[in-house]
Amino acid sequence: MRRLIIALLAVWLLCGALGGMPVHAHQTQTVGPNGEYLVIVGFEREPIFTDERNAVDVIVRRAADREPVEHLEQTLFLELIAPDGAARRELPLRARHGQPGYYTADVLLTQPGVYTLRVWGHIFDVEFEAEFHTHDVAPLAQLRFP
Amino acid sequence: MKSTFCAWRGAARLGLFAVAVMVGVAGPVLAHATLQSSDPVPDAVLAAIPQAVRLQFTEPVEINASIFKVYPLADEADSQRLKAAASQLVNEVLRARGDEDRRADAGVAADGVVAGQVQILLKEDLPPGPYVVMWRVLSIDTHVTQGFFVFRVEPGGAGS
Repeated sequence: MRRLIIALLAVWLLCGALGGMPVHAHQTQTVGPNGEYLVIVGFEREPIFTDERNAVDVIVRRAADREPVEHLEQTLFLELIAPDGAARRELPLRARHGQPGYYTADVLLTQPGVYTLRVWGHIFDVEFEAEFHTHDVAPLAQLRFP
Repeated sequence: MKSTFCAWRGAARLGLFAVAVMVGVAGPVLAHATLQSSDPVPDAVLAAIPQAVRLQFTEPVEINASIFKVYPLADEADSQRLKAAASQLVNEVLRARGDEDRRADAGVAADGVVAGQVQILLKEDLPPGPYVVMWRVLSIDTHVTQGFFVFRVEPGGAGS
């Protein structure tokens, strides 16, 4: 009985810990007139902090079979908009080596807050535009100790 | 005491020598074979069809384990749509076999089985229009890289 109580307590603590964690996963949007493709956007290192080198990942897959879509580096575009809305920059995407369907752009964020990512272009004959938002990016100083 | 000091000094010298040898042997870090230059250049508009497309890679590539192809594209005025059509074609045909009849190239010429520069010979009497050059190369650092670019032939056009 004591063992059972300890096991239940452990499960409850684990669930609580996981449930309490903020969501930092990549986000997915379906694009195309018939939902042909999945565009997945996220950061290489999540959760995101300011003042550390990071990268935006744009992943493209066929919706039907989840197969990665390659050779889009010349027809995909990414714009990053700062939390203040004033600063915006188009980041050049490159194919990530050894990871088909992955396109990436290096970046170092300097301003805490929620960033907007605009992705647009062509996935073969499908023209699309999609908007994503990061979680609340925290200042790296928050991690400093002591 | 003196012999211990000498032993430490000898070990330190050996360590420094080993580090120097490792640095010297390692040399510059090998990068993957990416396209360094080409003739014609990407997005070029040519007055006449060239005899060959020349590709220069940043690292030597294994010719027999690599793929080089040139394909004609359906004409499209919008450059982004043209690149999108090219990327779709590259996905479909880059690794296809038995497609010689559909291709605009007549094979590859290179100095040796490992080379940094590759010539893709083009067939004769090709019609004007857009073409896509595509490759999938195995570099000597054993990494596979791939890419493509588009050029256009317009007799009486800008020519570049």
